[in-house]
Amino acid sequence: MTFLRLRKRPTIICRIFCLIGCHNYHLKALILISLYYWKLLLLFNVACSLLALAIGWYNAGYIGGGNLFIAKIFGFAGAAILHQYSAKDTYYYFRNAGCRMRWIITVSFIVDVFVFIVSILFINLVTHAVAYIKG
Amino acid sequence: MQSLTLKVDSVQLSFDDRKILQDIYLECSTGEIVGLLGRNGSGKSSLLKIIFGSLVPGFKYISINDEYIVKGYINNRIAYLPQHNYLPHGIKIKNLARMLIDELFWDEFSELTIFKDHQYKTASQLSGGELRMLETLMIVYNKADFILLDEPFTHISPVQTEYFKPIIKACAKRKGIIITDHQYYNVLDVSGRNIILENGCTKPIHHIDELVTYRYLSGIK
Repeated sequence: MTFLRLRKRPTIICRIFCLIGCHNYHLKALILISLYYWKLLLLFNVACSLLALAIGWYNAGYIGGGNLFIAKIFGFAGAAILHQYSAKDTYYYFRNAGCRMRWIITVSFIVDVFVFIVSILFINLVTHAVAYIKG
Repeated sequence: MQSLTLKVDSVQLSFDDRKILQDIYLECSTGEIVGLLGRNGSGKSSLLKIIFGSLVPGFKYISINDEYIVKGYINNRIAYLPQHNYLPHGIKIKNLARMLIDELFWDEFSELTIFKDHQYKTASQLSGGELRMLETLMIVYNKADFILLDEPFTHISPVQTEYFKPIIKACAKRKGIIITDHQYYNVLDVSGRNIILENGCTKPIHHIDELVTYRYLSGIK
Protein backbone atom coordinates (compact mmCIF):
# COMPACT_ATOMS: atom_id res chain seq x y z
CA MET A 1 0.00 0.00 0.00
CA THR A 2 1.06 3.58 -0.63
CA PHE A 3 1.73 4.43 2.99
CA LEU A 4 3.91 1.41 3.46
CA ARG A 5 5.77 1.41 0.15
CA LEU A 6 6.62 5.04 -0.15
CA ARG A 7 8.71 5.38 2.95
CA LYS A 8 12.36 4.51 2.44
CA ARG A 9 12.68 3.45 6.09
CA PRO A 10 9.77 1.41 7.45
CA THR A 11 7.89 3.00 10.35
CA ILE A 12 7.17 1.26 13.66
CA ILE A 13 3.61 0.61 12.42
CA CYS A 14 4.97 -1.02 9.22
CA ARG A 15 7.25 -3.23 11.31
CA ILE A 16 4.32 -4.27 13.53
CA PHE A 17 2.25 -5.14 10.42
CA CYS A 18 5.09 -7.32 9.12
CA LEU A 19 5.57 -8.89 12.55
CA ILE A 20 1.93 -9.94 12.90
CA GLY A 21 1.81 -11.05 9.27
CA CYS A 22 -0.82 -8.52 8.26
CA HIS A 23 -0.68 -8.25 4.46
CA ASN A 24 -4.32 -7.44 3.74
CA TYR A 25 -4.41 -4.06 2.00
CA HIS A 26 -7.85 -2.95 3.25
CA LEU A 27 -7.15 -4.11 6.81
CA LYS A 28 -3.89 -2.14 6.91
CA ALA A 29 -5.67 0.93 5.56
CA LEU A 30 -8.43 0.53 8.16
CA ILE A 31 -5.93 0.21 11.03
CA LEU A 32 -3.87 3.21 9.89
CA ILE A 33 -6.90 5.43 9.31
CA SER A 34 -8.31 4.35 12.69
CA LEU A 35 -5.06 5.42 14.36
CA TYR A 36 -5.44 8.85 12.75
CA TYR A 37 -9.01 9.05 14.05
CA TRP A 38 -7.90 7.94 17.53
CA LYS A 39 -5.19 10.63 17.48
CA LEU A 40 -7.78 13.28 16.57
CA LEU A 41 -9.98 12.16 19.48
CA LEU A 42 -7.15 12.01 22.02
CA LEU A 43 -7.67 15.38 23.72
CA PHE A 44 -11.47 14.97 23.94
CA ASN A 45 -10.94 11.37 24.99
CA VAL A 46 -8.62 12.15 27.93
CA ALA A 47 -10.86 15.03 29.06
CA CYS A 48 -14.08 12.97 28.87
CA SER A 49 -12.44 9.96 30.57
CA LEU A 50 -11.18 12.13 33.47
CA LEU A 51 -14.62 13.73 33.79
CA ALA A 52 -16.33 10.31 33.83
CA LEU A 53 -13.76 9.09 36.38
CA ALA A 54 -14.38 12.13 38.61
CA ILE A 55 -18.15 11.55 38.46
CA GLY A 56 -17.64 7.84 39.26
CA TRP A 57 -15.34 8.66 42.18
CA TYR A 58 -17.79 11.30 43.50
CA ASN A 59 -20.71 8.82 43.41
CA ALA A 60 -18.93 5.65 44.59
CA GLY A 61 -16.32 7.23 46.85
CA TYR A 62 -13.44 5.13 45.50
CA ILE A 63 -11.63 4.31 42.24
CA GLY A 64 -11.60 0.62 41.36
CA GLY A 65 -10.89 -1.38 38.20
CA GLY A 66 -14.60 -1.41 37.28
CA ASN A 67 -14.88 2.35 37.71
CA LEU A 68 -11.84 2.90 35.53
CA PHE A 69 -13.16 0.71 32.74
CA ILE A 70 -16.62 2.30 32.79
CA ALA A 71 -14.97 5.76 32.77
CA LYS A 72 -12.94 4.66 29.75
CA ILE A 73 -16.05 3.54 27.84
CA PHE A 74 -17.94 6.75 28.67
CA GLY A 75 -14.82 8.81 27.92
CA PHE A 76 -14.42 7.33 24.42
CA ALA A 77 -18.14 7.55 23.67
CA GLY A 78 -18.22 11.19 24.84
CA ALA A 79 -15.17 12.04 22.72
CA ALA A 80 -16.65 10.37 19.63
CA ILE A 81 -19.96 12.25 20.07
CA LEU A 82 -18.17 15.58 20.64
CA HIS A 83 -16.02 14.98 17.56
CA GLN A 84 -19.11 14.15 15.51
CA TYR A 85 -20.72 17.45 16.48
CA SER A 86 -17.61 19.58 16.06
CA ALA A 87 -15.90 17.99 13.05
CA LYS A 88 -18.42 15.87 11.15
CA ASP A 89 -17.22 17.33 7.84
CA THR A 90 -13.92 15.47 8.27
CA TYR A 91 -15.78 12.14 8.02
CA TYR A 92 -15.54 12.62 4.24
CA TYR A 93 -11.77 12.25 4.53
CA PHE A 94 -12.12 8.87 6.25
CA ARG A 95 -14.76 7.73 3.76
CA ASN A 96 -12.60 8.81 0.82
CA ALA A 97 -9.93 6.52 2.27
CA GLY A 98 -12.42 3.68 1.63
CA CYS A 99 -13.57 2.90 5.18
CA ARG A 100 -16.92 2.99 6.98
CA MET A 101 -17.01 5.29 10.02
CA ARG A 102 -18.55 2.46 12.06
CA TRP A 103 -15.46 0.28 11.45
CA ILE A 104 -13.07 3.14 12.15
CA ILE A 105 -14.76 3.98 15.47
CA THR A 106 -14.75 0.28 16.48
CA VAL A 107 -11.05 -0.20 15.69
CA SER A 108 -10.21 3.11 17.44
CA PHE A 109 -12.07 1.92 20.53
CA ILE A 110 -10.10 -1.35 20.53
CA VAL A 111 -6.86 0.66 20.22
CA ASP A 112 -8.02 2.95 23.02
CA VAL A 113 -8.81 0.05 25.38
CA PHE A 114 -5.46 -1.58 24.52
CA VAL A 115 -3.55 1.64 25.28
CA PHE A 116 -5.59 2.06 28.48
CA ILE A 117 -4.79 -1.47 29.72
CA VAL A 118 -1.09 -1.08 28.87
CA SER A 119 -1.03 2.29 30.70
CA ILE A 120 -2.71 0.80 33.80
CA LEU A 121 -0.25 -2.14 33.82
CA PHE A 122 2.68 0.24 33.44
CA ILE A 123 1.45 2.53 36.25
CA ASN A 124 0.93 -0.53 38.50
CA LEU A 125 4.39 -1.81 37.68
CA VAL A 126 6.01 1.56 38.45
CA THR A 127 4.00 1.93 41.71
CA HIS A 128 5.09 -1.53 42.87
CA ALA A 129 8.69 -0.89 41.87
CA VAL A 130 8.77 2.39 43.80
CA ALA A 131 7.19 0.70 46.85
CA TYR A 132 9.74 -2.15 46.63
CA ILE A 133 12.67 0.26 46.38
CA LYS A 134 11.38 2.26 49.36
CA GLY A 135 11.10 -1.03 51.25
CA MET B 1 -7.37 -1.28 -18.46
CA GLN B 2 -10.92 -2.61 -18.05
CA SER B 3 -13.63 -0.08 -18.84
CA LEU B 4 -16.08 0.45 -15.99
CA THR B 5 -19.56 1.93 -16.09
CA LEU B 6 -21.31 3.54 -13.16
CA LYS B 7 -25.10 3.45 -13.41
CA VAL B 8 -27.41 5.42 -11.15
CA ASP B 9 -31.08 4.65 -11.54
CA SER B 10 -34.45 5.12 -9.80
CA VAL B 11 -33.18 7.32 -6.99
CA GLN B 12 -35.98 8.60 -4.78
CA LEU B 13 -35.27 11.18 -2.12
CA SER B 14 -37.72 13.33 -0.20
CA PHE B 15 -37.51 15.64 2.82
CA ASP B 16 -40.73 16.22 4.80
CA ASP B 17 -42.95 14.96 1.94
CA ARG B 18 -41.15 17.27 -0.50
CA LYS B 19 -39.78 15.19 -3.36
CA ILE B 20 -36.19 16.22 -4.14
CA LEU B 21 -35.19 13.41 -6.51
CA GLN B 22 -37.66 11.13 -8.23
CA ASP B 23 -36.76 10.24 -11.82
CA ILE B 24 -33.00 9.85 -11.99
CA TYR B 25 -30.95 8.06 -14.58
CA LEU B 26 -27.25 8.76 -14.88
CA GLU B 27 -24.48 6.81 -16.51
CA CYS B 28 -20.75 7.49 -16.44
CA SER B 29 -17.96 5.36 -17.86
CA THR B 30 -14.26 5.51 -17.18
CA GLY B 31 -12.70 7.90 -19.65
CA GLU B 32 -15.51 10.45 -19.67
CA ILE B 33 -16.51 13.57 -17.75
CA VAL B 34 -20.21 14.11 -17.11
CA GLY B 35 -21.32 17.63 -16.17
CA LEU B 36 -24.26 17.88 -13.77
CA LEU B 37 -26.06 21.20 -13.78
CA GLY B 38 -29.09 22.49 -11.94
CA ARG B 39 -30.41 25.40 -9.94
CA ASN B 40 -29.88 25.86 -6.20
CA GLY B 41 -31.82 23.25 -4.24
CA SER B 42 -32.34 21.02 -7.28
CA GLY B 43 -30.61 18.13 -5.51
CA LYS B 44 -27.20 17.98 -7.24
CA SER B 45 -25.19 17.63 -4.03
CA SER B 46 -27.74 15.20 -2.58
CA LEU B 47 -27.46 13.04 -5.69
CA LEU B 48 -23.65 13.00 -5.46
CA LYS B 49 -23.83 12.12 -1.74
CA ILE B 50 -26.24 9.27 -2.54
CA ILE B 51 -23.85 7.92 -5.20
CA PHE B 52 -20.95 8.24 -2.75
CA GLY B 53 -22.95 6.49 -0.04
CA SER B 54 -23.05 9.14 2.70
CA LEU B 55 -26.75 9.95 2.20
CA VAL B 56 -29.39 7.23 2.29
CA PRO B 57 -32.39 7.82 0.00
CA GLY B 58 -35.81 6.14 0.03
CA PHE B 59 -34.74 4.02 -2.93
CA LYS B 60 -31.75 3.75 -5.24
CA TYR B 61 -30.07 1.46 -7.71
CA ILE B 62 -26.36 2.12 -8.13
CA SER B 63 -24.06 -0.30 -9.91
CA ILE B 64 -20.59 -0.53 -11.38
CA ASN B 65 -20.50 -2.90 -14.34
CA ASP B 66 -23.91 -4.23 -13.18
CA GLU B 67 -22.55 -5.07 -9.72
CA TYR B 68 -24.84 -3.46 -7.11
CA ILE B 69 -23.04 -0.95 -4.89
CA VAL B 70 -24.34 -0.43 -1.34
CA LYS B 71 -21.98 2.41 -0.43
CA GLY B 72 -19.76 3.82 -3.16
CA TYR B 73 -16.87 4.79 -0.93
CA ILE B 74 -16.23 1.30 0.48
CA ASN B 75 -13.00 -0.17 -0.89
CA ASN B 76 -12.30 3.01 -2.86
CA ARG B 77 -14.81 2.52 -5.67
CA ILE B 78 -16.00 6.15 -5.63
CA ALA B 79 -14.38 9.32 -4.21
CA TYR B 80 -16.23 12.54 -3.49
CA LEU B 81 -15.10 16.14 -3.13
CA PRO B 82 -17.64 17.85 -0.86
CA GLN B 83 -18.44 21.57 -1.07
CA HIS B 84 -16.86 22.19 2.34
CA ASN B 85 -13.34 21.51 3.67
CA TYR B 86 -12.94 17.90 4.70
CA LEU B 87 -9.31 17.39 5.76
CA PRO B 88 -8.92 16.81 9.51
CA HIS B 89 -6.81 19.34 11.40
CA GLY B 90 -3.89 18.15 13.51
CA ILE B 91 -2.38 15.65 11.03
CA LYS B 92 0.32 16.55 8.50
CA ILE B 93 -0.82 16.95 4.87
CA LYS B 94 1.77 14.36 3.77
CA ASN B 95 0.31 11.68 6.07
CA LEU B 96 -3.25 12.54 5.06
CA ALA B 97 -2.35 12.40 1.36
CA ARG B 98 -0.73 8.96 1.64
CA MET B 99 -4.05 7.40 2.60
CA LEU B 100 -5.92 8.87 -0.38
CA ILE B 101 -3.53 9.03 -3.31
CA ASP B 102 -3.28 6.24 -5.87
CA GLU B 103 0.22 4.78 -5.49
CA LEU B 104 0.60 4.76 -9.29
CA PHE B 105 0.33 8.55 -9.29
CA TRP B 106 2.14 9.31 -6.03
CA ASP B 107 5.30 10.46 -7.83
CA GLU B 108 3.29 12.81 -10.04
CA PHE B 109 1.32 14.13 -7.05
CA SER B 110 4.37 14.58 -4.83
CA GLU B 111 6.02 16.70 -7.54
CA LEU B 112 3.20 19.26 -7.45
CA THR B 113 4.47 22.59 -6.14
CA ILE B 114 1.54 23.11 -3.78
CA PHE B 115 2.14 19.72 -2.16
CA LYS B 116 5.90 20.23 -1.87
CA ASP B 117 5.35 23.62 -0.24
CA HIS B 118 2.82 22.48 2.33
CA GLN B 119 3.39 18.75 2.93
CA TYR B 120 4.74 19.24 6.46
CA LYS B 121 1.93 21.60 7.51
CA THR B 122 -1.48 20.72 8.91
CA ALA B 123 -4.80 21.79 7.38
CA SER B 124 -5.22 24.58 9.96
CA GLN B 125 -1.94 26.19 8.84
CA LEU B 126 -3.11 26.68 5.24
CA SER B 127 -5.17 29.47 3.69
CA GLY B 128 -8.67 28.66 2.43
CA GLY B 129 -7.57 28.64 -1.23
CA GLU B 130 -4.49 26.50 -0.63
CA LEU B 131 -6.49 24.00 1.41
CA ARG B 132 -9.20 23.79 -1.25
CA MET B 133 -6.61 23.17 -3.97
CA LEU B 134 -4.94 20.40 -2.00
CA GLU B 135 -8.28 18.81 -1.13
CA THR B 136 -9.35 18.84 -4.79
CA LEU B 137 -6.02 17.40 -5.94
CA MET B 138 -6.19 14.63 -3.32
CA ILE B 139 -9.58 13.59 -4.71
CA VAL B 140 -8.50 13.86 -8.36
CA TYR B 141 -5.44 11.66 -7.67
CA ASN B 142 -7.50 9.27 -5.49
CA LYS B 143 -7.43 5.48 -5.93
CA ALA B 144 -11.14 5.40 -6.78
CA ASP B 145 -12.41 4.50 -10.26
CA PHE B 146 -15.06 7.23 -10.19
CA ILE B 147 -14.64 10.77 -8.93
CA LEU B 148 -17.50 13.06 -7.89
CA LEU B 149 -16.56 16.74 -7.80
CA ASP B 150 -19.01 19.05 -6.05
CA GLU B 151 -18.16 22.67 -6.86
CA PRO B 152 -14.42 22.22 -7.49
CA PHE B 153 -14.12 25.71 -9.06
CA THR B 154 -15.75 27.56 -6.19
CA HIS B 155 -13.46 29.38 -3.70
CA ILE B 156 -10.48 29.28 -6.06
CA SER B 157 -9.10 32.00 -8.32
CA PRO B 158 -9.54 31.97 -12.14
CA VAL B 159 -5.84 31.17 -12.59
CA GLN B 160 -6.19 28.12 -10.35
CA THR B 161 -9.34 27.11 -12.24
CA GLU B 162 -7.37 27.12 -15.49
CA TYR B 163 -4.65 25.09 -13.71
CA PHE B 164 -7.19 22.45 -12.62
CA LYS B 165 -8.92 21.91 -15.94
CA PRO B 166 -6.09 20.01 -17.69
CA ILE B 167 -5.49 17.96 -14.52
CA ILE B 168 -9.17 16.95 -14.43
CA LYS B 169 -9.12 16.13 -18.15
CA ALA B 170 -5.95 14.02 -17.73
CA CYS B 171 -7.53 12.22 -14.77
CA ALA B 172 -10.58 11.41 -16.91
CA LYS B 173 -8.43 9.29 -19.22
CA ARG B 174 -8.31 6.60 -16.52
CA LYS B 175 -11.39 7.40 -14.38
CA GLY B 176 -15.00 8.43 -14.73
CA ILE B 177 -15.78 11.91 -13.41
CA ILE B 178 -19.08 13.55 -12.52
CA ILE B 179 -18.67 17.27 -11.97
CA THR B 180 -21.07 19.94 -10.78
CA ASP B 181 -20.49 23.66 -10.29
CA HIS B 182 -22.42 26.91 -10.72
CA GLN B 183 -19.60 28.14 -12.96
CA TYR B 184 -21.38 26.32 -15.80
CA TYR B 185 -18.95 27.57 -18.47
CA ASN B 186 -16.10 25.79 -16.68
CA VAL B 187 -18.20 22.62 -16.38
CA LEU B 188 -19.12 22.79 -20.09
CA ASP B 189 -15.46 23.34 -20.91
CA VAL B 190 -14.21 20.15 -19.24
CA SER B 191 -17.19 17.83 -19.67
CA GLY B 192 -17.91 15.60 -22.64
CA ARG B 193 -21.59 15.14 -21.82
CA ASN B 194 -24.00 17.18 -19.71
CA ILE B 195 -27.10 16.50 -17.68
CA ILE B 196 -29.44 18.93 -15.97
CA LEU B 197 -31.43 18.25 -12.82
CA GLU B 198 -34.90 19.77 -13.18
CA ASN B 199 -37.80 19.05 -10.81
CA GLY B 200 -35.98 16.02 -9.44
CA CYS B 201 -35.44 14.51 -12.90
CA THR B 202 -32.29 14.17 -14.99
CA LYS B 203 -32.44 15.46 -18.54
CA PRO B 204 -29.62 15.26 -21.09
CA ILE B 205 -28.31 18.52 -22.52
CA HIS B 206 -27.29 18.35 -26.17
CA HIS B 207 -26.98 22.07 -26.82
CA ILE B 208 -26.30 25.07 -24.60
CA ASP B 209 -29.66 26.61 -25.68
CA GLU B 210 -31.42 23.90 -23.69
CA LEU B 211 -30.06 25.47 -20.49
CA VAL B 212 -32.33 28.44 -21.26
CA THR B 213 -35.25 26.13 -22.06
CA TYR B 214 -34.86 24.47 -18.66
CA ARG B 215 -34.62 27.95 -17.05
CA TYR B 216 -31.11 27.33 -15.76
CA LEU B 217 -29.90 30.36 -17.70
CA SER B 218 -31.93 33.48 -18.41
CA GLY B 219 -30.20 33.93 -21.75
CA ILE B 220 -26.96 33.32 -23.64
CA LYS B 221 -24.67 36.26 -24.38
